[in-house]
Amino acid sequence: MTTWTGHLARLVRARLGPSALVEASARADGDELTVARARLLDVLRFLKADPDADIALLVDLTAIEHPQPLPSETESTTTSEGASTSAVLLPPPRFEVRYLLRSPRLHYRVHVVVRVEEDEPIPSVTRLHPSAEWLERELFEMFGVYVDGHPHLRPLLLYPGFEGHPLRLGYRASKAQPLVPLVPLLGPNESARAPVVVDDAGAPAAPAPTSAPTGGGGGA
Amino acid sequence: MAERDPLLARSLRALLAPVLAWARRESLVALPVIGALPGPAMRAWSEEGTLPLDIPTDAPTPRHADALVVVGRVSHKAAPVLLRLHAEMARPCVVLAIDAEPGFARVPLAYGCVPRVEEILPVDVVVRGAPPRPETLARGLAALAAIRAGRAP
Repeated sequence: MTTWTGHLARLVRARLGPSALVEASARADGDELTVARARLLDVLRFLKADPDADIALLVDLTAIEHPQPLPSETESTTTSEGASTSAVLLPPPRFEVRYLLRSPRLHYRVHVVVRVEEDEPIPSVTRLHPSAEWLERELFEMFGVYVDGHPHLRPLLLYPGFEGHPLRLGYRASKAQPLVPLVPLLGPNESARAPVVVDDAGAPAAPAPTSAPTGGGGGA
Repeated sequence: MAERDPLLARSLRALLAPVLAWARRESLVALPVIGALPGPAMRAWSEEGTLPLDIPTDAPTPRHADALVVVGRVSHKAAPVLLRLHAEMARPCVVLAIDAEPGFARVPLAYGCVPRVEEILPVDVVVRGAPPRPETLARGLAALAAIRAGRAP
């Protein structure tokens, strides 16, 4: 496996200009390139088309949500620390959309990261990587990050009528939105539709001898 | 002739009742429905698990099946489909659910799944385990066959 730490960042900066990358760092399995939202398509197009990069495969696309401080917390921090430190303490953008790309020829991985706020759409990359079509639909329904230019941005895993975005930090994991009314379960003596429950606890210690002959020729 | 004579029809039905009960008990055709989190339950309801029990598990349509077997947990999205399958089955039919206890392996209940199949369907037998042992599944199927034999059409 080629050790290319920092190679891609230098390549992107040389070909697309220093403004194309916000930040670049090395990961154990490749490079991580943080790009500006406006330059995302340029960078991905370059990574795919350039023979030196040859990042042709989009493996995964997901997002990370950073917890946002409450308004009261930021106010108290700013007043106690002074106005000069308020810029340093600005919270990071709420979402970090990560494109996990791979070069099948060079066996190399790249994470391309775009940081966006809740109301900032990201451009669709389906024209570059058709495999992004389902991934972008999943991203939109799970995190609510709008993908601009997607051919049909309808829910992939969730169903029509589902409200909210379940992978956001604010969505309670147990908050179900059933399509079928759930019947509350009563105790075994209270309901006529209580099922017979069979579990491993009541199983005999040794297998019953009568069940053995059935297994031999039963399948034929 | 029996159609014209209600008394004869009733007598024939009473005469054939044990035979029908025997047939229902002995010829269980199952329609498996694989749920959203089938992992351990699927291991129990595999070909190796059901082959010694001589139960056909390949009903071509819900009308051909006697038993609806729900393997694993059902997602909220699939719940209406499961209800429609159950409605399409010929009566009398029985329902078997194979699933681990909710909260098994400290996995909390998620937003996407029905906690227990019993909450959306009238389930007759529930086989618990992750996966259940083969003899547990066999006991569950025996209980299912007994319930079906005693159920009037």
